[in-house]
Amino acid sequence: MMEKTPYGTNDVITKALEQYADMVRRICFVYLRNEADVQDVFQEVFLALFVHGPGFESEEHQKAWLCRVAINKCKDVCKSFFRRRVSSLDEIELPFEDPQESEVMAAVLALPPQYKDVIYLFYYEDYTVPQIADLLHTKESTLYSKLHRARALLKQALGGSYENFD
Amino acid sequence: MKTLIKSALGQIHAEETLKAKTAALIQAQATPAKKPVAFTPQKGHSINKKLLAIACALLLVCGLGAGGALYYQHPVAYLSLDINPSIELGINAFDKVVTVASYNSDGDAVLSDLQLYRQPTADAVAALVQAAAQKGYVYSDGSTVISLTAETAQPALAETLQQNATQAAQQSLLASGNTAVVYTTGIGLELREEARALGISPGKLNLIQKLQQLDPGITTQSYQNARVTEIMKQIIALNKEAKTSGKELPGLQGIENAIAQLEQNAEKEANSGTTENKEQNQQKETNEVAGEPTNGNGAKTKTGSNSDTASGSTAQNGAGNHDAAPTEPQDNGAKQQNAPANSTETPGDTATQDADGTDTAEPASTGAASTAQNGGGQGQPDTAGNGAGGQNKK
Repeated sequence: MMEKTPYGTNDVITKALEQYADMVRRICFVYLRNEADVQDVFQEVFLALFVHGPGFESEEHQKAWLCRVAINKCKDVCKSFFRRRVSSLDEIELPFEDPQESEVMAAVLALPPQYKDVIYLFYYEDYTVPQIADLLHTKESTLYSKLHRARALLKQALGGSYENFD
Repeated sequence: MKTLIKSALGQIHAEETLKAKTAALIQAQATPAKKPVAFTPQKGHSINKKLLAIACALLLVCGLGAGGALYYQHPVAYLSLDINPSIELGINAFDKVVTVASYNSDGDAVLSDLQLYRQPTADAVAALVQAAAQKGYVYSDGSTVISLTAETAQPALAETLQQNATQAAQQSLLASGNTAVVYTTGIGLELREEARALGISPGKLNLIQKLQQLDPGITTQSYQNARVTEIMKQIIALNKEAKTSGKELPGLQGIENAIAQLEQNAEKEANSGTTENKEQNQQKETNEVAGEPTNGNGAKTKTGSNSDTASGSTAQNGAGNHDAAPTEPQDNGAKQQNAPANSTETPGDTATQDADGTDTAEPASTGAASTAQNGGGQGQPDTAGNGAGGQNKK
């Protein structure tokens, strides 16, 4: 489908798109409310991958790399000048049919950006805290307290109707 | 909780269109550049916006600066100064001189040592008058007309310009101890264009055109190098002839007044020539004659000068025109004050003194300078009294 470059990069991209598009899209979903931003970040992540080229130690390494790049880009957008001051008009509606899912996701999306990465990586991608620390280049203790605060915020938002937070 | 989050997020998928778009974008990036190194998307999004904002701000600042500079450089009015040297100053909205042009070689001579750019109009006029006097274009016997012509499309601006310029010229004359008649008027910018096309100063062309109205046979060239004084005298002479045939030109009041002042100066000069007081008779007072057309103030000053001409057959009338009433005694004061200073200090003044001496043939006076002064002070009690009053002011 795509031309092969001397680096063989496009193979990597095609494969990565198949494999990780959903993951990147999910990260975007957690952070961004605006369809245009989502599209921008999504494309930039894979462009970054294209520029980086092959050379990952393993599949896991590549996945972690993509996670980090996506999260960082989302955070960049979140803290950018325009986004902070201009509220987006076309907010994404939650596409969940189950009301419980909607409620929980609404609470997750309402979290401050600094907690979203931990929640996503911990709850969805099943990374352990040491793995997340490695991935985000953060101290474990920081992550534990982040996780703790994020859970407290979720509890508060959900009114104690969900007891099992592990 | 965990399961809920998992199942919820599990429903999120990347749309096929998004994937296709991304693939296409990356392919587009891949094909033109073999080394996609130049593309640095890492910080692209937010940085680009910041850069854009900075660039816009810079552009705005530069734009404002350039606009301001252009506005500053742009003359909104011109002031033409004609004696025989013809000089035109371009004046911007901040009353600063931004262009200086000379219309004849005498003008070049006057301008040669002057730095007028960015000076306030009044300072520039004063400097020009002084330089002209120093270079001998203002005759010491008071027989010179300095014509100041405001050229602008805005009547209010013309009026203030005329007032300021007149005041500055008179003060400069006073300070340097010369006598001359200052004549102001205003003209439109169309005449200026015409004058520039002919290479004559607009102020002079204005006068020549008056001549031509009185006598259509007169060519512009024939008066191109004439002194303003002569042109004005000619105008009055022709107008007298025209009066007899009823074809008198209106609006010549200002010129008539100026000539009347000249005659008074000449009379004074003649009188003083007969008395002993030659040395003091550098006429320190100046005579203002109001401008003709554009300004309302013309009428005011005109009447002032008329009343003066009516009453004042003796010397110090001219200065009475000036708004500052005490100038009359002050003039006498200046006369006395300057006279001793002349002999020692200012070269310009000394020059006039010499001219005075040679002109009216009073060789003995130079020797008797000091005594003559005293004589002046004591011999004429009224002048002395006035002098004491006005001296302190200047």
